[in-house]
Parts: sequence; structure tokens; C-alpha cells
Amino acid sequence: MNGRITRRIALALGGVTLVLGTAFGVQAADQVHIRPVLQAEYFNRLITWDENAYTSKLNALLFTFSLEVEPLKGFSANLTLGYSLSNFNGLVFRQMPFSIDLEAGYLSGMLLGGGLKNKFVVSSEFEMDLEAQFVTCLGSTNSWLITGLSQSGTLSGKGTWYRVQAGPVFWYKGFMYFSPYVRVSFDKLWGTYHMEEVIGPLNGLEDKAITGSGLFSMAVGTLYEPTAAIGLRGEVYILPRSKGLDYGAQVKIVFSF
Amino acid sequence: MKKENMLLMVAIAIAAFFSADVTGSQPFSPAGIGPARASAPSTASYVPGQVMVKFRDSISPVFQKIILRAYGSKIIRTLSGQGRYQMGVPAGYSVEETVSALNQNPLVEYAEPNYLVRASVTPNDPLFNKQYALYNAGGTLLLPGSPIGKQGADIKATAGWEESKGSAQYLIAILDTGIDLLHPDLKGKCFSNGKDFVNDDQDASDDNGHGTVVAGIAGAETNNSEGIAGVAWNCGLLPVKVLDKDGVGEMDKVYDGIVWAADMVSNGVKVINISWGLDASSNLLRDAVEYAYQKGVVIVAAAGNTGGQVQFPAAYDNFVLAVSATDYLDTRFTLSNTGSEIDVAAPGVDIITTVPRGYYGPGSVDYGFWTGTSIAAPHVAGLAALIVSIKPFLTVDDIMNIIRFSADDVNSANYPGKDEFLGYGRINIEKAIVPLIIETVIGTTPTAIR
Repeated sequence: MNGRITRRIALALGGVTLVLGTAFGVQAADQVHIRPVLQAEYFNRLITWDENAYTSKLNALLFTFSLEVEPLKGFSANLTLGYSLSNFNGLVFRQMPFSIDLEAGYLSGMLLGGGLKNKFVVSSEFEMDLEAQFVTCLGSTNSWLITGLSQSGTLSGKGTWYRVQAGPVFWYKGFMYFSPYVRVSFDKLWGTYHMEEVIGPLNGLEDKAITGSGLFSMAVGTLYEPTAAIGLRGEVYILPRSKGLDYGAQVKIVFSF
Repeated sequence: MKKENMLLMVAIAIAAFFSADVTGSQPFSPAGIGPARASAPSTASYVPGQVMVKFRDSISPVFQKIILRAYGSKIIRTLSGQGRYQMGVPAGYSVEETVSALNQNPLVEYAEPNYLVRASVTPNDPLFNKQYALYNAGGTLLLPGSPIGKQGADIKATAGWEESKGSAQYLIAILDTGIDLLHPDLKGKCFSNGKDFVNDDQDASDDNGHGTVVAGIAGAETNNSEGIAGVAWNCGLLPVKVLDKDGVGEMDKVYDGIVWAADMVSNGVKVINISWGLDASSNLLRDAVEYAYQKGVVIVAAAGNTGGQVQFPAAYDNFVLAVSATDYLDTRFTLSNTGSEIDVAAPGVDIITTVPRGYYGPGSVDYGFWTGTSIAAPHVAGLAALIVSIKPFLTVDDIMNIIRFSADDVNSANYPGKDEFLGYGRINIEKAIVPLIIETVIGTTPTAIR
């Protein structure tokens, strides 16, 4: 239900981005620009589970490659593929015969995603982008042996999470090489962790729904463009939430052709 | 610091680095580099990927950091007090390997995993310090004869209570001689006055004492500044009197009592404790326990104290958990019956528990020390009630298997695995209900350990 609403919001924001772009008179580019983007990101986010009864942290490292295509001047879309390391430490599964406290550290997974962006030139020194980005982390299945009991057993687990970010980015373009910016985004994260337990005749499984706390993120960053062919973009962001603050950071290398 | 001293320190650091290289390309074997001062016990749990280090006081902070960097470790945090660090484990190495390597370094005073500690719940019941069965600290025990106990020869109740103290929604039916309904440590725990099948009335008061003894172990009121602690701290008790004042019961009454208790499942009866038995099989008794099993009630029964074969109903293997008795050293109570039907064991020697008021004479204390498998069984019944309280969705077989598989094989030196003396071993509440910790050790087979 929650996920469905979030997907609708993301679609709506993407649609708004596209419509606004058209309304503000974007025009066909002289040529289609293609921009490969390499990105690394880290975030630390509080997640709630068991109907908000418990909390733990999701730490993630994301390494992605995106291909950004600009078919219309100022309007671009991207497809993202990547590798992730997600740390669900502290997630406890109590719906199986033997309860499990996942403290397995960073677990690998594949990232898939995509996004839309529309640029508006406000003045010679200020620009605004509307961005919408969706990413899903498809965790690989991990197996563990259960020792220390009279009967040995196995566990297998797999975490999947989704994130939607959408909102405006305000750029200052008054410097020659540096373009600082501020981003404010709707930022929703949710997912599930599937765990299965087999200990002799005992078996159980639990699909644990997780939800990231906070719905909005605020970022500051800068884009450094020493040449027209390459740009380095870095940002740090925070996600205010009830009784705390989550955070993240990302760096990007943008190649332009 | 003088220049010569600095050079010496650098030399030592480099020597230490090469003598215990955790970042090098050669395969690293902690067992092959001499005795370590400390190692990670396999039974303890700790934060994955982290190690705590303390340098000798003579080492300056600058060199401490140089040394840590030489190991390829990232300093996560500097702790208060000189020379103490929380550090990350070098990529590709386990916590154990890193601890072992650091402990080879003469500049390091000690290194150890960043252990996870769990709060234990200690109730305020004044006689709790005599309940070695629940928590055995070892040393001289406050029992008759002041025996020396073995640390850890207990059912890990205090650690288990951290996860659950039970739910008042669930009841343990005590099929016995009744319960002293006005006992200060039991009156608040009885769901009702129960049912007396001996005298055919609704007052299951205890006119023998045995039922009160059993009830206190399973579910005495706990943390009430009175007497003892019960295993199922918050669970209720249902007295069902099927044995008379002499501790003898007729099978028709026993049958009626078990069936009645099983029919109380909708009122929360999920566990039946049977601390009695007979040497011969009885079809009526078998039918009764099978009925209760089919109704979703876990039946826990004492194996018997004759030193012979397991008594019935404990011997009805498919439907009943058969319990033998151990002592404060985790050794078997010598009169505990034996057989392949034994599932688990629990402490049953010199166990302090409730007795009916005035049991030892006018003005006597309401507590006494008892021995036998009758006393062991309610420890297991209490554990079953704790499991039901947090996982009511489990089947009877699931609960029985959790109790079996989480038991400590305390006689494994002579009888590894399930045996006819202690079954799977002495029960362990912590293992049964506290979440198992799953950790990944880099470069090794991922393993779940507690």
C-alpha cells in the first residue's frame, strides 16, 4: 500500500517534470547528448519494521553507472545499473522457530534504476532542475550455517529495497568552473528482507517490511567542470526525521559527449 | 621524545608489523604464530569487523596510530583513557585473526573483539540467590550442605528473560495435588481456583504439597520482593487436582483432568506439567495426552526417580516431552530414570521452591528445597510457556523441537549427542528464545553464532 502510494508520487513527479519541461518551451536539441555517469554513494538511514515497533539502521554503499540521454534540450532521462553493499545490522526476525538477529554486515546486491530531469534557466546565474530518480536494490541471496544448537541448520536471506527521490535542484552558475547547488527532495525508502530458516524438522520464513524514516532530504553540493567533457559532482545530504537525522553523501563523474 | 627513542619505536613498530602481518599476501594463520594472549571465544558474540585495542602506556599516541595504520586498520574511535582504540578489521581478515595478530605485537597490551553484551534481568525475589537452576554463578551455593556449584550450570533464565518474561495470556496447567491458592508467591498467579477431580469440586487447593512445589518453579510470582522467581515470570497457573492428599491419583480422574485442561486451551492453557508417572502404559492415559497434543497443548512430564525406565506419560514419545534431572554441576541426578524417550534435562537437585503455608509446621517458612525429576519438569514447562508467549503461532512439535535443539549437551564428553540419560541436554532458555546472531566472517564460511 505504502509502496503503491510512493510509486504513484514518483510517477506524478516524473510526469510533472516532463510536462513543465514542455510547458517552459524545451526544444529539440541540435543533437542528442549522451552522458555516462559514474557514481558512488553512501547513506545511513533509520528504518522501522514490525509495524514501527522496532528500528535499526540501513547503511548502504552504492556504485552505479548511468547513461543519461538528452533528447530534448534541457530534458534528460537516465538508466542506472550498479552494485550495492547494504548493511541491515540490527534487523531481528522473530516469526521463525528460532529468532534471528541479522548482524551480517554489508551484503551485496544489484542496483537498477532510472530517472528524469528537466532544466530551467531562471537567469544567467541561476538555474533550476527538476529531478526524479528511482532505484531498486536487488540483494543477492546469502546463506548462513546455524551452529551451536543440537541440530545444525541453515538460513538464507535476501534484502530488497527501493528508493524514490524527486524534487528541485537550485544551481548557482556565477562561477567559471564551480556550480554550487542546493537540492530538496521527496525521499522515500522502503523494502523487504526475506529470511528462511531450516533446522532439522523446524522451518520458517519471514518477510520483513522495512520503511525508511523521514520523507524529505536536503542536500548541498557542487559541480566542478574543468572542461566541457567532464564534470565532478559531490554532495552531502541530510534526512530530518522524528528524533534525529540521517545522512548520506555521493560523488559523481559526469562525462559529456 | 628523543630522536633515538623515536627511531627505536619505529623499528619496533615495523618489526611488529612484519612479524604479524595481517595485510600481507601470505595466508595468515592465527594458530601458527605462537600463543595469543586473547582470542575470540566462539560462544561470545561481538560486533563484526571491529576490534578493541589497548597499547602499552609507554607508547605515544602518534606511534599508536602509526602502528594501527601499519596493520591496514581504520581507527573508528579513540576511547577515553590512554591508548584505547576501536578499530576496523583489515579487509580480507576476520576479527579472530586480527585479534590474534595484534596480541603478538609487544607494543599492544591487549586486543579483543568488540563484544556485544546483553543486559540480564535479575528479579528482586529475596530467595533468588538460592535458585542456582535459574542462574548459577558458581562457587559456594546457598543450598543445604553448601556445595560448590559450577558456573553456568543453569538454564540461563536471566538472559532469556531479557527477551521475554512470558505473557499473562498463557497458562500452565499444573496437573498435580492442587496448589496452595493463598500462598504469597502463587495467589496472584492462579487463573482461577482450578478444578479438583479428586473431590469433584471447583477448589483445587493443595492438601499434599507436591503441586505447590511444582507450581512455584514453573510460575511463582516474580519480582514481587517475595520468595522465589518462577521460570515463566508473567504466565499464569491453572491448578488441576488429580492426585489426592497422599499424592495418588486414579486414572479416570487423571484422564478427566488432562482432557479438561486441554479443553481450557481457549482460555490460554498451552502447557501442561505432569510431575508424576506410572511404570505401566495406560491406554487411557495415552489417549488423554494425545488429546491434549491434538488440541495444541505442550505436555511436559517427569521421567521418574526410580533409576529405571522412563515412566508414563513421559514415555509417550510423540506427544510428551520427557524430562530428566541434573544438579548444580550439570551432572545427572543419579535416580533420574533413563531411556531413549528422554528429551531434555533440567536442574532437579536441591531446588528451592514454594511449599504450602505451614508445610513444615506452624510458623515455618513457605519455601523448601526439593529434589527429583518432578522438580526438573516445571523448569521445562516454564520454558515452553515463555516460547508460547512470544510465538503463539508455533505448533506443539515446533515448541518441543525448539526446547530439544536449544539444550546444552552437558554430558557430551561421555555421551555426545542425544542420549538416554539427559536426552539433548540441559535446557537453555537463552538459546531457545533470544535471537541467534548471524555474523559473516570475511573469507570464511558464513556462520551463525550466538
